[in-house]
Amino acid sequence: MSLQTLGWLILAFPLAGATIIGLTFKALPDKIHGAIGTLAITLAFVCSVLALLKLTDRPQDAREVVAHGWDYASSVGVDAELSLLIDPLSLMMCLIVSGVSALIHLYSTGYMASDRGYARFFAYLNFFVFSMLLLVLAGNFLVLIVGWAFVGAASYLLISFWYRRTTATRAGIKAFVINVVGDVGLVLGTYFIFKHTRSLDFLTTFDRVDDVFTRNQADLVAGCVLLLVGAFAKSAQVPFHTWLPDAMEGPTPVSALIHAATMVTAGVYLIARMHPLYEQAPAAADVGSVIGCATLLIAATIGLVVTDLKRVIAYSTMSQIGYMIMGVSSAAYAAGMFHLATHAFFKALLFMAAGSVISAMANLQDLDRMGGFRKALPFTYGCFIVGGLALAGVFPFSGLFSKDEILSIEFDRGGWYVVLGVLGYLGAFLTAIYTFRMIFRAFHGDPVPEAQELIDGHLHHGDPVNPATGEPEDTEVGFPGPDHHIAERAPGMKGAMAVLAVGATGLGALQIPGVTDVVHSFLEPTFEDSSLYASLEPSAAASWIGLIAGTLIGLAGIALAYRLWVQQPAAPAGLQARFAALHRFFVNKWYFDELIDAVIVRPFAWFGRFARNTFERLIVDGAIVGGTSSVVRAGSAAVRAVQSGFLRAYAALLLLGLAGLVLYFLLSSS
Amino acid sequence: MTIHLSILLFAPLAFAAIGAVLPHRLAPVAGLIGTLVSAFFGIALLFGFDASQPGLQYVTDDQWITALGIRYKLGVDGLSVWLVGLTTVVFAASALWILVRPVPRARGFVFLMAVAEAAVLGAFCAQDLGLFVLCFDLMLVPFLFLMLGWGGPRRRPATIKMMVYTLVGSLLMLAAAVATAVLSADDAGGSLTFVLSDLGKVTLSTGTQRLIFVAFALAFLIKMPAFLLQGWMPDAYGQMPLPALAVFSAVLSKVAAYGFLRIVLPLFPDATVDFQAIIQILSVVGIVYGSAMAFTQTNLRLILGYSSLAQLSFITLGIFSLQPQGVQGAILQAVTHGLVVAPLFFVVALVAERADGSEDVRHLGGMAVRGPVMATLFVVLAFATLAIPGSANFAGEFYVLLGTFKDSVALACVAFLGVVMASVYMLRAYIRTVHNRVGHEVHGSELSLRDAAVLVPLVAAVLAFGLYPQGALSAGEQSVTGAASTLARVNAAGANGAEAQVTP
Repeated sequence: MSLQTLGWLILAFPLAGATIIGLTFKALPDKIHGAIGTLAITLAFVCSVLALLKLTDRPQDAREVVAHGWDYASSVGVDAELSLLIDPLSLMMCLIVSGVSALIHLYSTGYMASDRGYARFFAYLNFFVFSMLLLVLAGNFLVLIVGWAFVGAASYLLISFWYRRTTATRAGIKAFVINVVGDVGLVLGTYFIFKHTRSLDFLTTFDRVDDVFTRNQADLVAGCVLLLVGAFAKSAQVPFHTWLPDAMEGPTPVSALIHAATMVTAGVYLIARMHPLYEQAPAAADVGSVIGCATLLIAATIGLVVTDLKRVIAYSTMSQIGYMIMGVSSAAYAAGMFHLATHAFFKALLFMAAGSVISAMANLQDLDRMGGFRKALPFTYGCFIVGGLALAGVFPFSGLFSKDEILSIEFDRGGWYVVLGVLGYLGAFLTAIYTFRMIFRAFHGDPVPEAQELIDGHLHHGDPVNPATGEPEDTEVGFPGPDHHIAERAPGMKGAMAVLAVGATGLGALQIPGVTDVVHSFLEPTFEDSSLYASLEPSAAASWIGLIAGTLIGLAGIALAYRLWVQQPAAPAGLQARFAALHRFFVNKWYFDELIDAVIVRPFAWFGRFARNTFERLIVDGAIVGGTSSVVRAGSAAVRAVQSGFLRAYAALLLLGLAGLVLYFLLSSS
Repeated sequence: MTIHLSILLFAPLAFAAIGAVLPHRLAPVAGLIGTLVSAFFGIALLFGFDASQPGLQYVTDDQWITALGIRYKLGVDGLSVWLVGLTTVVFAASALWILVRPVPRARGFVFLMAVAEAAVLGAFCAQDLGLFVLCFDLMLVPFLFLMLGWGGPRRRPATIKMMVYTLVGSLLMLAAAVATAVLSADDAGGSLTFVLSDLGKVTLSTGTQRLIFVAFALAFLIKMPAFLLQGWMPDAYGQMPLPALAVFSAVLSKVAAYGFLRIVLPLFPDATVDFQAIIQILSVVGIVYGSAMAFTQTNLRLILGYSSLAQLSFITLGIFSLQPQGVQGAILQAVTHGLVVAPLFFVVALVAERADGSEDVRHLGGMAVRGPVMATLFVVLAFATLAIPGSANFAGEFYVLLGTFKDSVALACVAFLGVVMASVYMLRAYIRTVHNRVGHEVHGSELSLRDAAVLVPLVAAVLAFGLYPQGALSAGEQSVTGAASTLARVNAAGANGAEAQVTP
C-alpha cells in the first residue's frame, strides 16, 4: 500500500465506524457498537504505524507526501481540493491521536456500559477521531478549517452529551461559540495569507512565503495573529480559555480524549505546521510565546484553589498546553511536539484515574468530599502517582524530559526568552504543588464513607444528582446507571490505564539529552526549511543541568504539598485566611468569565433587546410602516370596496400604477 | 437530452389543473406528480448542463406580445441552473409534505402552489425583462391567497401588510422595467424590446441608471427582505401555513437576489458601482441586526425568519463585493440556504406537532429523548445554517467573505460577527427545542416514516452539498467570470479611478 492510500485509510476507518454505529444504533446491541468503535480506531492506529514504517523507509528529503483527493471547492482563482499532507509532523500526530483514542475507546466500553446513550457516545467519539485526524492530515487551509470546525462540533456534541442537564448544554454552547470565534480567526487569517500567496495549498504557501512577504509585513503578522486566535480558542489559552473548565460537564472519557490528549493540542500542532509563516513574522510568534507563558501561570494559580477534581486536571491541561504553545512559538518545535506526546499519555491517564474515583463517589467530583481512597483504590492511586510525577516533572518520568527541553531552548535563545524560561520553572513549582494537593486530598487521610464502603467490598450508590448544581438527575439519561463500574476493577479499563501508565513513565527515553534524539531527528524533514530548528540545540550538559533543576523544583513542590495537606492539614485554612484577597481572586478564576460577560455578552444582549424592543417597534414598524399604514388602511378599504377579493384590487392597482409611470417616463424621455 | 424549460414551468400547473377537478383527497397526488416531473427535469438539467460554456443553454425563444417587444424567451446559465434545480426539488418536497399530511381544501392549496412554482421557475428562466417582471409579480399572488385561506389566526392584517409592501416594490419595478426598455429603444434608435440580451447592448446614461437602479433594488430588497424593509416579514412568517412558508423562504427570496445578478448588474453597471457601498453597508448591518434579532426571538419561525434576513444579507454582500469570489459565493449560498431552510421549516412543523402546536422555545425542550432521529436531522440542519466548515452553507459563505475581504477588510470583519452570532442563535434554538428538560406540553415521539420520506432526502442533499460543493461552483464559474469582468471594466473606468481587482 502506498503512503497515500494509508493516509486515506487512517481517515476512512473512524468515519466508517461513526457511520455504521449511527445507522445501526437501534438494530444492533450496544456491546457491538462499543466493539465497532474501538476496532475502527485500532485499525486507524495500525494504519498509522504502517505509514510510519513506510515513511521511515524513504530518504530524508522525500518524507513529505501529498495525497490528492478531488476538487472540493475550487473556482475563480481559489484552489481548494481535498488533499492530505503526510509528513513526520502529521504522522506523529496521527500516532498520538489514534493510539490514545484507541485506549480511551477501550476504557469507554466499560465506563459507559450502563449509559443509555452508549451507541450515540461511540458514534460521536468515532466522528471526533475522524475530525481530528482530518485536521492533522489536512494538506491545505480549507481542509484544515473543515477538520478544525468538525472537532469543535464533536466537542460540542460530547460536552452536552448528557443533554438533559442544563449545565451540560450551557457548557456545550459556550465551548462551541468560543470555538467558532477561533474558526473565524482561522478563516480570516487564511484570507490575509491567501491574498498574497494566492494558494490555499500548504506546501505551495510555504514555498512562496519568503518571496511574497517581507519580514514582519503587516498583512502576514495580522494573518499569523489571527491564526493564533484560532489556536488559542481551540487550545484554551488566555483569554479564550473559559470554556475548558466548563467542558468537564462531558463524560470523563471525553475529558480524557478531547479536552486533554487531542483536540486541545490542535493549536500547538497548528503553530508547528505554520512555522514557515511564523518565522517570517516573529512578532506574531512572540505573541504566542507570551500568551502561552501567561496561560501556564494563570492556569496553575487557579489549579491551586479549585476543589472540583476534574477541574483541577482541566486547569493543569491548560497550563501544560501553555508550555507547548510557548515552546512552538519560540521555535522549540520538536520539544513542544514531544511535550504534546508525553502530555497526551499522562493527562489521559490522570483523567481515567479520576474517572475511577468519580465512579466510586457515585458521580461526585468535589475534592472536599473525598479522602482516603489509597487503600480502596490502590491501582488508581498508583496511576495518579505516576501521572502526577510525570506532570510535576520528576526524574525519570516522561513529563520532565519534554517540559525541560522547552525550557532549556528558551534559555538557549537568550534575550527576553530567558524570562519565559524562568517563569516556566515557577509554573513547574506550582504544578507540583497543585497536582499533589489533589492527590493527597483525594487519597490520603481518613477514608470517607464511600471509600470505606469500597474497602468493605460494596459499591456506593448515591441518589443521582447533577454534581454542578445538586439538582436531582434525570435518570433516563446519564451516568451512573444502577450498575456502574469502578475503572480499576474492569479488565478493559484497567488495561487501558496500564498502557498509558507505562507510556507516561517511559516515553522520556525517546529524548534523553546526549543519549537519544528520536523525536527531534524524526521531525527534521518537516522543519528542514527552518533556520532555527537546527541551530537551537542546547548542549547535553546544559540540558542535564535543567533536568536536575526541574526535578528538584518538582520535588520541592511535592514536599510543600505534603507538608500542607498531609502533615499539617490545618495549615491551608490559615494560609487562605492570610491571603484572602488573593485566594478570592484565584477562586474566581481571575474574573475572566465576568470580564467576557461585561465586555462582550452584555453589550450584545443589550443590542438584541434594543433591536427587538426599540428599533423594530419604532423605526421598522413605526416610521417605515407608519408612513405606509395609511396606505394599508386605504388598501384594505379599497379591497372591501371592490368586494371581490384581493386579486382584482391588486391587478387594478398594478395597472393604475403602470399606466401612470409609463406615461411619466415616456413623456420625460421624449 | 433535450429539455424544454417550458415543461418544467407548466408540468406542475397542468397536473394541478387536473387535480382541481379531482376530489380533495386525490388533488395532492396530482400535485405531487406534477412537481416530480418538474423535479426530474430540473435535476436532469443539472447533469446535462455544460459547465464549460459561458452562454445560455436550453433556450426557448418565441413571439409573445409583439406590440410591446416582449418575447417568451427562457434559458438557463451558470447563474440560474442550480437555482432552478433547487426550486423544483423544494416544491416537490413541499408537495410530498402536503400529500402525507393532508391540508383542508387541498385542491385550492395544490393549485396555488403550482402557480407559485410556475412563476418562480419563470422568473429564474426568463431572459426577457417583461417576462421576468410578470413572473416576479405573479409569484407573490398565490402566497397571499395561501396565507389568507390557510394561515394562522392573525392572517388578515399579515396578508394586507405583505401585499402593500410588495405592491410598492412591484410597481416600482414595473415602472423601472418599462423605462429601461423605452429608454434603451430610444438610445439605440431601434424598436421596443424587452429581451435581456438586446437591452444589455445599450448602456443608459448614468443618471438614468441610478433612478432605475433604485427602483429595482427596492423591489428586490423588499422581497428578500433586507434590513429596514422587513416590516412585513414577522407577520407573514408567523401566519403563513408551513408547507407554503418552507418554499416561500427557500426560493422567493432567492429570486430577488438572483434579480440583482440577472438584471441589475449587467444592465446598470455604472449605477451598481455607484451604489455598491450603500448596499454593502446595508448588508453588513442586516447581518448583525438579523442575527441579534434571531437571538431575541422565541418563536421558531421568527428565529428562522430573522436568520434568513441575515443569510440573505450575506448573499447581497457577496454580490456587491463585485468580486468573482463574492458573486460565486452568493450563487452557491442562495442555493444552499434554500436547501437548508426548507427542511428546517418542516422540522418546525414536527416540533409544533409534539408540543400542542406551540412553536415557542420557552415551552419546548427534551425532544431528543423520544426522537433521536429527528434530533439528529435537526442538528445537521442547524450546523448547516450556522455554516460550520464542511457543511452545505460553508463553501458559499467562505467565498462571499473572501470576495468581501478582497474589497474591504473592515466590512468582512463586521460580517464575520454574523458568523459567530449565527452559532449562538441557531444552537440556542436547537438546544431549547430538543435538549434540556422535557417541556411541560411536550409529548415527544420519533419521526414517522412519512415525515422521514420528506426530510431524509433533503437532509441527504444538504450533506452531499457539504461534501461536494464543487459541482455547483463549477457550473457557475463561466457566468461569474463573465459578469465580474464586466464590472471590473466599469470599476477600472470609474470616475474615482478605483483600482480594478479582477483575478481570473
